[in-house]
Amino acid sequence: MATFLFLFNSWASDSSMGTLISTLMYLSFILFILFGQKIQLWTMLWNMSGALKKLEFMSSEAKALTVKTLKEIGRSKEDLTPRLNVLLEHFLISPVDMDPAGIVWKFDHLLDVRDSKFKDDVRMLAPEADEVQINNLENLVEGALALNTIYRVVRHFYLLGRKTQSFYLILQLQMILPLVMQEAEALVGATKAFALGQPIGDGIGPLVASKLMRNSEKRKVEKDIVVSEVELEGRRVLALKAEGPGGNVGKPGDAIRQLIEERNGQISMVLMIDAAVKFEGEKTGDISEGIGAAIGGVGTERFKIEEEVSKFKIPLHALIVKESIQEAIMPMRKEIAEAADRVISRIKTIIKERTREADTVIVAGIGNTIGIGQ
Amino acid sequence: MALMFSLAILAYSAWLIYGAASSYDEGKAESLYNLALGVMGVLLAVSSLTTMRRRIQAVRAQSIRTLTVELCEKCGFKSVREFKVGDYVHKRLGPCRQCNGDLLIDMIYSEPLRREGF
Repeated sequence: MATFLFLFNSWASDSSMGTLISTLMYLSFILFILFGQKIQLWTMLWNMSGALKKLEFMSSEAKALTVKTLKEIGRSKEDLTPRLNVLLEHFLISPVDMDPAGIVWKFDHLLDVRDSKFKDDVRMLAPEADEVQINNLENLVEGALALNTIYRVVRHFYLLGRKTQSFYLILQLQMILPLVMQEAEALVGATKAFALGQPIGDGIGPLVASKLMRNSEKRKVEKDIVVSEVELEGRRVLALKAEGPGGNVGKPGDAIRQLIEERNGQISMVLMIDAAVKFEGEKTGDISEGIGAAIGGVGTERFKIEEEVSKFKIPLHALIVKESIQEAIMPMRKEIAEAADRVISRIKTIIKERTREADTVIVAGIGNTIGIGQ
Repeated sequence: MALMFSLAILAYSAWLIYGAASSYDEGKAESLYNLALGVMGVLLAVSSLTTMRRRIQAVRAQSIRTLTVELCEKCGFKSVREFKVGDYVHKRLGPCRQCNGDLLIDMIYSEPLRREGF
């Protein structure tokens, strides 16, 4: 716009049209006073329509990648698009919270039902896929679903804003749009990682647990979790993670509860390792130490862990590896992968300082274990 | 297209500044006006080119490659290669090429693709 004004001014100077330019300047000044907000609204809508087109492209790309991967792995010959479209609009209605007592177990049940339904649907779409591939495909469909949801929500508010010509509705969306676009771009990276079965940034917890349990015997415990008993600094360490290498987070809350109850509460410490969101300016892969249950999600797993450790008065420690939200769902960066050995040194220091020899400690690697075996 | 347009504006602005300098010697009144327009044009073109450069850099920063690190637990032999579908951390790959020990995948990570230019 400024360039065109510049060209116009330069032409006008040559043809002695000073009066016309002054009149136009006054007119534009009055125009901006009267219709400034409208012009701003049109500019915002114009910017947002560009962003919306980009989101639509990302969503359709993710869908195309999902269909291609499902066909390749599942060796299905039928058209998967209609069935995938149904899955991409899947929703979960959270339990009513007017009377919050017992809501965790209701939520937990609904999440279980959703998880098993989703897995069954993916199995139907890719009948030839093995269990690891089913888990990866489930993650891939979840990624495509998230992108589709972002696109639908942004489109909803864009169209609503355009229809009502509401400046403040559009302004709110425009303010958060850069963050939404960042997340959408990260989700595109995540869908590629899920399609190929590559580890993602969120997998740092399982990576640490996997390094601890390497070369030792493993057993399966509550829902998709593997545990291994290893010796570390003279202590008995029960390292646990979701069963890999398929994309899986398991239910660490149930597993920790099972392990504590198997030993009648004779656990000296529960130490949780997870990826956590860093602040801008902080370095990816830095480690921080704290107290509490380091686990994301809706909160049901955290609730179970907190309940169990409080019941037996077991100290609950946490180690987090810092990364951005985007890095958490994109293929694991070198700085994050290299942090695993430093986390293990910190685990050794913590258990040496806080427990006695021959004590039993639970070390839980929390996160998505895609691309990470045990 | 946008690059060509910005370069054309830059060239036109340079010509305007040159013209302004020449007509200033001849004592023409519009020389100052042309000089101001020329400087404005240069600033606009440079700003547009810088924005374009930033966008290209942002797109390049998003391009990543994923690498797999193979490690022999016995002799410490290490090799890095491109990630292949089916690779996962701690996957056993068979005997080591150097000592016949157990070769396994020690690490899988991504790093940005670095390219020269612009």
